[in-house]
Amino acid sequence: MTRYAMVIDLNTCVGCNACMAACAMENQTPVWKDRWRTYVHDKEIGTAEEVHRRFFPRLCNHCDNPPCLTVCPTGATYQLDNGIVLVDDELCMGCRACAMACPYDARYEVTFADIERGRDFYGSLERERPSMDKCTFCAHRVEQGLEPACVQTCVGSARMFGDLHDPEDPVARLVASGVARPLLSHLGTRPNVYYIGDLKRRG
Amino acid sequence: LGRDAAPAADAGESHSYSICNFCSSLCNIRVTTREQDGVKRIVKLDGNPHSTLNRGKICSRGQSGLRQTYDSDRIKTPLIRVEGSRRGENAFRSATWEEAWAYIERRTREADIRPWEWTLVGGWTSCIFYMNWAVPFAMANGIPNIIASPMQHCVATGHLGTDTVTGNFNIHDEVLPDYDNARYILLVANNASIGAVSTCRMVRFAQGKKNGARVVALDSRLSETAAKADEWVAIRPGTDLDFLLAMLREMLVKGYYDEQFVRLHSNLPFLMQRDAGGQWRLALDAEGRPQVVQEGTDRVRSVPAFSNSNERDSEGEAFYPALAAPAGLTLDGRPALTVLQAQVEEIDHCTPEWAERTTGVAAEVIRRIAREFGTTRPAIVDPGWHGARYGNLMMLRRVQAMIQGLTGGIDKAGGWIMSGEFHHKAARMFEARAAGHDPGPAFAALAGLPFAHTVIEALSKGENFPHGRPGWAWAWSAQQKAAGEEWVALPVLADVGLKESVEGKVEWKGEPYRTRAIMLNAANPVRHYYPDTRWKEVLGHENMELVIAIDVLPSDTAAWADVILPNSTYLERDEPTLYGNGVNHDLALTTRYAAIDPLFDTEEIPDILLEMTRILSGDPDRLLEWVEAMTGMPAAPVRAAWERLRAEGAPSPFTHACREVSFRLSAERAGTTSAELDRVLRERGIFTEQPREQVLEHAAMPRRLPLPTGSGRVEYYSSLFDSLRGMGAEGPHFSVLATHIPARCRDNADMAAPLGADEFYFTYGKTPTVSYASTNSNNPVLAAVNRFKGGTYTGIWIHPDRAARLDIVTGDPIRLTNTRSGQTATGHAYITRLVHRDALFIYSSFGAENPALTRSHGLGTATNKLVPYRVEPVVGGFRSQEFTLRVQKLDNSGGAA
Repeated sequence: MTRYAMVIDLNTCVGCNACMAACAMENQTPVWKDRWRTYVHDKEIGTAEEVHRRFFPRLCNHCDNPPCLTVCPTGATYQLDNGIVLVDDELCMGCRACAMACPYDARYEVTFADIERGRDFYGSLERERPSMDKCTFCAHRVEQGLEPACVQTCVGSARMFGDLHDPEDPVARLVASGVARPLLSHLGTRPNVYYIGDLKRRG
Repeated sequence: LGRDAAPAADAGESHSYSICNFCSSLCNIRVTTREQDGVKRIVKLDGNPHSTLNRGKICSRGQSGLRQTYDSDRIKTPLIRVEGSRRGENAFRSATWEEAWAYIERRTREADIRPWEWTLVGGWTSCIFYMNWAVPFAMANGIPNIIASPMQHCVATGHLGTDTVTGNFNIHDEVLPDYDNARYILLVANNASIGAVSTCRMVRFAQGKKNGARVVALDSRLSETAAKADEWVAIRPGTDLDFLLAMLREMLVKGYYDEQFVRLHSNLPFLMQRDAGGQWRLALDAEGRPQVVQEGTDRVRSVPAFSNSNERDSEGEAFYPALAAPAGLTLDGRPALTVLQAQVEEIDHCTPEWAERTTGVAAEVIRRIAREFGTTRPAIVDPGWHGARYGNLMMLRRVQAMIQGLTGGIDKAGGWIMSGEFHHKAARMFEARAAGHDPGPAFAALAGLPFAHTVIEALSKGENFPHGRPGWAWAWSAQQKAAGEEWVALPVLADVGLKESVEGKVEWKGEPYRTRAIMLNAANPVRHYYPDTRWKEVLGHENMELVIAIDVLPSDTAAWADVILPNSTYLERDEPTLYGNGVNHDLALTTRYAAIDPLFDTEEIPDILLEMTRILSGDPDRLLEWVEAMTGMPAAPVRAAWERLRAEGAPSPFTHACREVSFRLSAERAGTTSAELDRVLRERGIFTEQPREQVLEHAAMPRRLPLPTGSGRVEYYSSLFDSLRGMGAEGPHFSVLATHIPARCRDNADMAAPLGADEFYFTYGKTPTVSYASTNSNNPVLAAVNRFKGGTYTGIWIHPDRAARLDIVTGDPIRLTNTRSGQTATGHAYITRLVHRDALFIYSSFGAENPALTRSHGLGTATNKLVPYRVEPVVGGFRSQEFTLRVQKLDNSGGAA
């Protein structure tokens, strides 16, 4: 059985936002209203003179225990056997409960107006109806043996995608080694996006 | 060879290959199109997975590139300024191409614009992709005036500095460092090539980091690049040269260098003397050959004037050249030293303690970094992108190249490796020279500084033109020099004297030398030359009879045109030729295939230049002849193909005729056929001729071949600056050795003197989302990213300690005033510890004014509202940071708070 996961090495994320643009183009997201399936924070961290600038990519964490799925009243949010969390736009009624439940700020709404605008903007649109929207780990690409668009274009090779159940997979190794760690794991969501910290290497 | 042969799969996706157009990295891209209801549409761009240049990756600009093609703000037809309106008012009417050409022809005739009264302005894309047509166009029509951007910002000021040491001047003469294999990487005054993303550099840098390279960044702010460093050295703006000179001195004095390499392959062992005027000169023998001392003796030998190596003297005898002359050595009765010794003497005062004072970096840190860098192999000091900023920037880049040379890391794994294309050209040029042949047409056959000399010769010598006039820049420089005023020695493709020629102040043989017409090709000087008002005055001047702009989007400059000619975007066109693979170490060929037919009524550059030639000279054939003379592309077959394609009614027939012939020539050179070359490029987007290992095996410079410097060696004593002395160029900017040039941000205070409470040094840099000076801040995807980043991108960075004293918080409206020029600009404060306390930082990506750029006009602060016209004396490089600013908090109504 496959279990997809992403590891993001903060040491080589240079904050270029290629992932944001690649995702928007690949998945026809509503850039006109500033909503993104993945985005990169540009944060000043550290205290006093110990200042650091950290680029922090965010996306759906495809949790093993996804709160968005638990709260979904219609069953629109579902999970594939490979762990990818998806939204069925035929079932979604746009109640936004999932967006509120998600601790990773990974969801936003696509409305009828967005669909109209999207048809005009993208020429033709894959989706036909509104729903809550989120990262799919580019399931349509992964199915064809491709990497998610953000991973494929990452100029720092900071984003890595792989199968946690394959012990030979570099992503599985990084997670198993403990060097790559999840975000807000204390919430019990059992997320599958892991980060390699960028402060240890510095003096 | 064109779009007709790239059919879409049924209702499905198809792929074609092209080259990105958003920086000079020239990433190879794969274009995905989808066809629906008979309409083919570009849906996705990716890095070309077959490319060893960008390794299948592209940055945010590259990813968003298709949105330029579909930008609703595009220029969709030719536009003619409405009668009765003034330039800059943005009043245009749509026109047909016939109307546009008729308008241009009528204006040219009515105003009787003479060839030398034209000035061409080219942006970097027109330079890289159309140099082979643009320069022949100038020559064919007797136009000695070309301004190319960004020469004064980047190529002439920055690259030429490194090139004086390595000889690597070429079309976009950049070096791609082999970060993959480096163990130590030092970045100086450069965010652009890593953090603001040149993908081919960033992918290698990231791999180097993953491999464990130590990264140190000198930057007055915590840039994207500095954020990836193990050590951020927060240096005071304008003092990088001080740091680097202290480092150079440490390395020379402590012996932190590859002794064998510099002994054999640099001019550090050459003997020098001071002349009667106290100036350093090489001690040449009677035949003009350099002399060196044999190690361990005081025997002086001559070495060949041009060679890659000092291992044999000019008699062919092997010996061991000394890096230090014995004490008391004299030649012809005067003391002689080696270049190394003279260089140490020249900068002996530049100790780490000396540098600490201005840089604000502790002497022990400078000493440690010099030691780490000098004793870790392989090490890279990044050559840097973007020059300008200060009068000392060219010297800074020179010193960086000298330091790189000391490690022996030139054309070697883990060091600076020059491109496959450059090696190929240089090797052929040296072969021809050795055989006593003319190497051939300059654009095809000359590599490195010989190519630079040709460009300088072409425009600076009146005898190259039937009317006898050199470019106005050269006339103005001569005039200024004669008048004892500040003058520029090499105003190569610079704007030095443009305003004066428009105003009628430039003279040639007693006659006014006027500029009365300008044609801008993919250039946006109103936005990125300094200051904006200067170019508005030039373009709006009553003496200006005709302004033509060729572009894809309504830039701030296009608003000042009489006629705007719409160009297709890079995804809609087959290019007229094949290109080398940019800075790739591998030798490879590539080109663009149109992914879709042009969406609008656009035209390609070669065809525009051909029609302009008909208007200006009456004979389009002259362009073909000059293309042949300068590039080697034969006119006869181009003419035949052009006539055939015209008869067939093909779009852009001249462009496609050139492409046909170019494929044939490239195929011949690569030992294949046009059809095979086309097949491979369709399938892979790249035709690899030789991997870098093979290139370096026979052409590594200077280990196998000479460098294209004056002496063939890595030049610490600069032959280029030596030759400029003959022109009477004086002062530290022209020094033949590395020397100190202080930044002068204030008239009566050095860089260490305290600033006023509201006074700051000015710094700017590039975001990863906007190409320098480009209109792609208007790209809807990139504009959305910029909005997401908010004040980080569009605000004015001020350190909180300084802001607190001025009672300024993030978001406050503030006014900036240049203490030197009085120029002002407003913006919003962004308070952050990511910037040096003495510095104020702005991303240069914003500040577009043209309201026709609906997503980006009015956003952010334009740097060129703050930068005055002030240039350095070597190449007219902009001193775009060499001043201070005062900051004033404003109230909500825009008045002083």
